[in-house]
Amino acid sequence: MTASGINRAGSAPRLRRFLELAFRHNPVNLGDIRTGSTFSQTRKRLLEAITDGTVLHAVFSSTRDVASFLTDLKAEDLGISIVVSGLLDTCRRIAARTGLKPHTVAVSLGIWGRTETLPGPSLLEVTSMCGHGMIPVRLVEKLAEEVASGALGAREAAARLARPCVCGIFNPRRAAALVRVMARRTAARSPRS
Amino acid sequence: MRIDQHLCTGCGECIPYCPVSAISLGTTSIRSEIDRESCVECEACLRAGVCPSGALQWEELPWPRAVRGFFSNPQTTHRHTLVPGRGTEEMKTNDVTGRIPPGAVGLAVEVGRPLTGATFKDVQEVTAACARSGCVFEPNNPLTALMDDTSRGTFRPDILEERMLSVLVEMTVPQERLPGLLDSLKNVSLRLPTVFSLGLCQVVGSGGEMPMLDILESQGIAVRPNGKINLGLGRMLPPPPAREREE
Repeated sequence: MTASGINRAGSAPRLRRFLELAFRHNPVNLGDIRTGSTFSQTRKRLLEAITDGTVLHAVFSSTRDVASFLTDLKAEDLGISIVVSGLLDTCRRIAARTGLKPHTVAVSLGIWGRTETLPGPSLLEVTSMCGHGMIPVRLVEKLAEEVASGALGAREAAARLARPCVCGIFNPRRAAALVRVMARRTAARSPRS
Repeated sequence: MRIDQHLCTGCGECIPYCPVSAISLGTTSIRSEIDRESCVECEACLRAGVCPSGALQWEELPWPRAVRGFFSNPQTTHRHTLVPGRGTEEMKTNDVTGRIPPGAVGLAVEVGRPLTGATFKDVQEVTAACARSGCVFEPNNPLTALMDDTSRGTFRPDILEERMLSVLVEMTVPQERLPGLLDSLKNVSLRLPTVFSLGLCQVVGSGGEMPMLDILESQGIAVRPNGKINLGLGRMLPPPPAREREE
């Protein structure tokens, strides 16, 4: 991410370079919030459409891939702010492995207020992967039912869930695993089972 | 958003794509309808691209309804900050902005997240409580621009009934004021008709210390295992030469 008045003007080539480097390290998703993600756009389109000041995300399923990506970013010295998110202990270890010192750390204190109105934890685990709230509960339920009935595979269900997340932070690999579990529970509850 | 009732075939394909369940099949017709009070104008239904007849249509939104889209549609670029998404850099650029200086704590209260949505009236409950605890609202957050009095955390009255998917309130407090602010947030959470997600951030000390974590422990507030780390890789960069800027 770039900062207004500090490194935003003319940042498009550096942001493009960020994406080019990310592609080398097996991302399971990535995106430009202004354009979309790898589930709605081609890589070529994503690279071409980058503009100054846009916000980019890249998601990985392997800490090794994250570490190697960060090693490349450190060497490239793009001068743009990089934030790594996930389990904090894991993020700290990866940072240490790549010789990077945390500057600012953000912690989550969870959800407060009328939490009894929220859907169950298995649904929230899927929907909350999109920080902008673009993954509807009803879509998760519908696709889990389709996986349970055999009409759809879990990976295709995860791909359909990834599309509404325009910034590309949704992890489809994790989503497929979660939907598989939900589908098994649904199938187990079915009168035919 | 609107659904043209002459074009709608009642297929229902759009219904599961609404994050706030504002679309349903009509009770007196077989067409899909949008509950305008619940709709937060995020355009997720339109982006899904599942309507076979072009019935789902974007419409120009008058003020104050337009504010729904500003805060709910992640592909909006905010006029005030020119940042897409939530319209604010948060702690993500703190290595270069110093938005949260050492010794202070940054708070991010996202009202309506996850999934429940919030009106500005709900948000005002939170911001008024925080203002009484002596916080400073982030001036580069588009929400702050809508306050009519930042010292009281109140908003212009014409937007209070508008509903959004979620709204991010950002503020900074000196470390010593954090316990009081957390107590205020605990109290407001008991009477709010929605939820909020709460996050704190702090610059890491030279020895890796983060005093805010000790404060949280002393208050009996659990820290979730997930979080974010700004890796300090940003820096001031010169703007491009004038010729490139013209291009």
